Amino acid sequence: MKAKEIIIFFVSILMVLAAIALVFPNKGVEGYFHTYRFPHLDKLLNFHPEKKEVKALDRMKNIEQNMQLDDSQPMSAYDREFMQFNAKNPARIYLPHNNVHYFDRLFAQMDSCVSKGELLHVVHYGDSQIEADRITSYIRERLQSQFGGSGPGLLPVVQPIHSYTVKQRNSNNMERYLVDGTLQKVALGRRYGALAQYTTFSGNANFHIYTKMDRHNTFNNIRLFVGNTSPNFRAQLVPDNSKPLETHIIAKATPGASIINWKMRRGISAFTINVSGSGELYGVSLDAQCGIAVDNVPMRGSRGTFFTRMDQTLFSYMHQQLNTQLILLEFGGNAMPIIQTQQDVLAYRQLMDMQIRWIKQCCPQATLILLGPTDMSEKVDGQLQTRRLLEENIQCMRDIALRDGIAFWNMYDVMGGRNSMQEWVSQNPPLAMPDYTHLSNAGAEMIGKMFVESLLNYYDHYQKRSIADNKQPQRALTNKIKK
Amino acid sequence: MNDVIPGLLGYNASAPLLFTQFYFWMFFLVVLVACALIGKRIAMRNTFLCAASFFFYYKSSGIFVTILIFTTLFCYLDGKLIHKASSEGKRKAWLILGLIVNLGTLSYFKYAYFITDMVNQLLGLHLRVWDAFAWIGNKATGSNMFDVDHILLPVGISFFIFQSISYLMDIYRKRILPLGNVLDFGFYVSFFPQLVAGPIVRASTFIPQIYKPFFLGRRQFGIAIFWILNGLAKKIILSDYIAVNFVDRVFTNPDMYSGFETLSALFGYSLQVYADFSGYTDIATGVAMLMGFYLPQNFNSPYKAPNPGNFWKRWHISLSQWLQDYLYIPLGGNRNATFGTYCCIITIALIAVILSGSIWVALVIGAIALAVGTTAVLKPERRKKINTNLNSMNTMLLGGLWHGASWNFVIWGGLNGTGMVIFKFWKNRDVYMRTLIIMLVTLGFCFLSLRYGYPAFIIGAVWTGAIFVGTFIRMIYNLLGGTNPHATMEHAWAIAQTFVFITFTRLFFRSGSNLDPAQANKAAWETAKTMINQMACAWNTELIPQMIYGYRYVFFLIVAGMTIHWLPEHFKRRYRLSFAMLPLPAMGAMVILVVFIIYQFMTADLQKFIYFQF
Repeated sequence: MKAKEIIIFFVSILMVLAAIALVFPNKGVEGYFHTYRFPHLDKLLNFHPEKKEVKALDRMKNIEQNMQLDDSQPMSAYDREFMQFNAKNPARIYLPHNNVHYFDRLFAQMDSCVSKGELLHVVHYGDSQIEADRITSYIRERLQSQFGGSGPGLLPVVQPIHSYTVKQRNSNNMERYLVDGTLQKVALGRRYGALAQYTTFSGNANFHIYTKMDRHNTFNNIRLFVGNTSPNFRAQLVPDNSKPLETHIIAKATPGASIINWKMRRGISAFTINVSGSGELYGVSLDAQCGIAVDNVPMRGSRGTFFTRMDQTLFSYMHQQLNTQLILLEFGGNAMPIIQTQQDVLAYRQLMDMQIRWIKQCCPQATLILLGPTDMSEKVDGQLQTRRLLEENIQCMRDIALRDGIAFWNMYDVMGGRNSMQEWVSQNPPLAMPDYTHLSNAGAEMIGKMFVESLLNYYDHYQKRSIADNKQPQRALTNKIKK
Repeated sequence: MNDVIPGLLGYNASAPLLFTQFYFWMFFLVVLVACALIGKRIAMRNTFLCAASFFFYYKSSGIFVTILIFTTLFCYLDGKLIHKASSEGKRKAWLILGLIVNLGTLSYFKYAYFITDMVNQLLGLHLRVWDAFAWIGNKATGSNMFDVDHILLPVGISFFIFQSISYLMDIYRKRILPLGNVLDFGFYVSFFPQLVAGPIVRASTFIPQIYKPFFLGRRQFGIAIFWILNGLAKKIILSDYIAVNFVDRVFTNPDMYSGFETLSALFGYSLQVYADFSGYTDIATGVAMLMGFYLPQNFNSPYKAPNPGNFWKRWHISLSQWLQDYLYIPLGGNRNATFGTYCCIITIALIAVILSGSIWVALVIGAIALAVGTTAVLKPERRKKINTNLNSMNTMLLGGLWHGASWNFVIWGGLNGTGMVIFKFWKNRDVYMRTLIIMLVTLGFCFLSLRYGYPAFIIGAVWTGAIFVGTFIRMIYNLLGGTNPHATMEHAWAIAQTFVFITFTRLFFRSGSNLDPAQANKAAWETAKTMINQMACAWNTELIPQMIYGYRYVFFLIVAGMTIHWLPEHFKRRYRLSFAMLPLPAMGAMVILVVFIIYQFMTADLQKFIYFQF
């Protein structure tokens, strides 16, 4: 063939494609399974497309820099700087009635827990975003370093999802019931407990747990939450490479919940618990004798609307026993696929309202923070962009949290806002996964860090206020980078 | 209008020039028109194509085009000097200089992090890489526009460096004469269809073509169009869709996926990487053909290979042949071992020990070295085989390091080399001996799995168990007096085993890919380890149908892609020719239809994240 003929062939094809591009509807043509699309001529001829400069990470760095408050300056200047942070910084925690004393009671207890020999729990409920102890592990590490405490906190007896913090295995005759999410297995009753799940067994059963944490990985205070036990229920704890501890026996059948507690002088990091009889196991808490424990409760696929489906008495009892002082609720992402209209947003808001009020009723002692979802992308006309109605949903979640008198933290804004997810995915290493929904481990750590930094800013402010009020601060200010 | 010219001619780091962009095809049309206008003036055509290729590289890599220009000028001059040298010693000296400069440039960009990491590990230092080129650029421009803290890898640097080395080596070996015109040489080194991802073109096969006038038969034209469409479909429909919607997700965070999903992602990756790479080669082949140039075949249905050695004769053929000619044979090939053989293997063993930081790796390597050395001393008749195998291992390990500078690529190369060596041993044994050996290996893995429960042992037990079953059936068949060897079944079984083996090695390959070089070593190893853990432990077989349904489009594409891949070659050739001989209007209509379909995949919605319990 002559070169001329090849060119004519090419030009003809291009002309036909250009003609299709001219007449093809911009929004595509709806097919049975798929919307057929074709690029518009303008798009084809734009040889140097301006990439949408989101600069989410630059924004995030900026947010992070502005979070570093200079606590060495006089109170008035510091207070001004803090108030500016509290009013404007996207990483601020939105407080009900903008009350900066909202966390005071919590901080006072955190400050004094070690000196008073008390143990307090921070429970982090969430969806798959916190699975495998992501985000939570960072919060735990920082809070335990700051206020004392060790161990991974409250764990379910059976956990099929991988965790970076602990490794668990159990005997085959254990059945796990979970109130919500894609792993949901509904039980006949509503006695799910603080972990929104429980395990039943009959006969002889056992489970083994060991911690993989780099720091604070040992625990010497193990509490097994049991209920509905048969007569002569037995539980024996066997630390790895050590002799078994005393066997606890519950002689009479007990319908309610009770706690079996092993306290040791030296911390351990791995053990097996053998149980015999039958009963419900609501969880096992692996902590120090005092300090802070942070519990990770991931509910894969959950919208966070399950609390009201659980038995209030048991839930309340467990949180009282755990001395839960802070509850983090991180939901909203799984609501997005079913939110199609503004009405759906309002319906979700109503459901969340019910959950918040229910939790407050069960745990009046606890401070609550609702954490909104991350940015999530979908393809519209072949282009990735932030999910429709995500911002509206976050706005509604914030409103309902504040109206119900709890705090709110906006993860979406902290990430960098609109279309930030695309930038997070494209980082090397990626900060989010290629499903444009989930954070990667590196991204989860970043979010965990931002959250803790933000919370500790409120703590530092509380400390400074205490000094100004001539109260002796019980602890040094946080070791954050000074300006 | 003010934005159009810079847009057309300027470099945009966020939009490099790719075959899948409309811009490329407009660029190609301009090149075709210019070539047609130049007609039979070959020198002018070559000069134009050289300039067009440099422009293409500038659009793909920006300022790194200076590296390409430097390499071109240096190798052109060095080739002349090698040719004109008055003595053998001088010829060798010029060649060595050429190799040092080329490999030095490649190592600087590709292995800076790797070498720094190793030095730090060995000496307990905390050195960091520092980009001298960026520093020079900043000094020259009086600005801080280049980042001195990171060394970026220029696109396709290995390919044009390897082509330059081939040119120098072939002049040294007196296979070719140096080119008389630097622009002709520049054209050979930078020919744009194959510049950034191969195939690696040999001077001896390509240079004669550049002095021939344009000729393209009607059938070749059709074949060229077929290759282009085939390549685009492979890249966008198979590779990109599977990667974005499944494989990348699993490899980014394997903890969130079950054993079945991780294993499926691994097999999906085998198809993805083939579709991606061979798709690129298909497009390059078609584009080059339309300009009247023929590129060597780079892939020959690699997953039809019945053994690992054969696989490397079918996969990235131009690289395999390059390594054979310029590495394997100079090391001694299948004749003997040289100083280079021992030097290479010892160096790589040391690197492996240092990178792993494990006493076990050191012990295993030591034990293998002892066993090989003892055999060589006690059984001199086996020395030749040992030497050949050492050269094969060296070639595969260095091939691994060429793909990427991390521990994972060393393992990947090592596994491939080991596969080839084991196959050579295996093929010389009768079926009874094979059954006995694989039974013992399976039992060994079973014992280790039960005793220690490590995931790698469990995978080993399952895998060798499957091979044992196949071998055992073959043995029973022999015992029962079966004489018909059932060649087809045996061949299919061999292909299946090779495919599984190659796919398994890809676990280390993919885990080490697309990473920040500064963290590649650790991150790649962690990903590979987690994948193995998940594959060995986190299965829940009753949920497999649910998982397949959830990712039905991805699984359909994987099955369809592999089915097409395994179609008989004569069938493929027939439909290729049928397409090529279509009347031009029909061919044009097919092109438009395929472009339309491909665009649907480019803009398809993301596969939603699906949760499965496990």
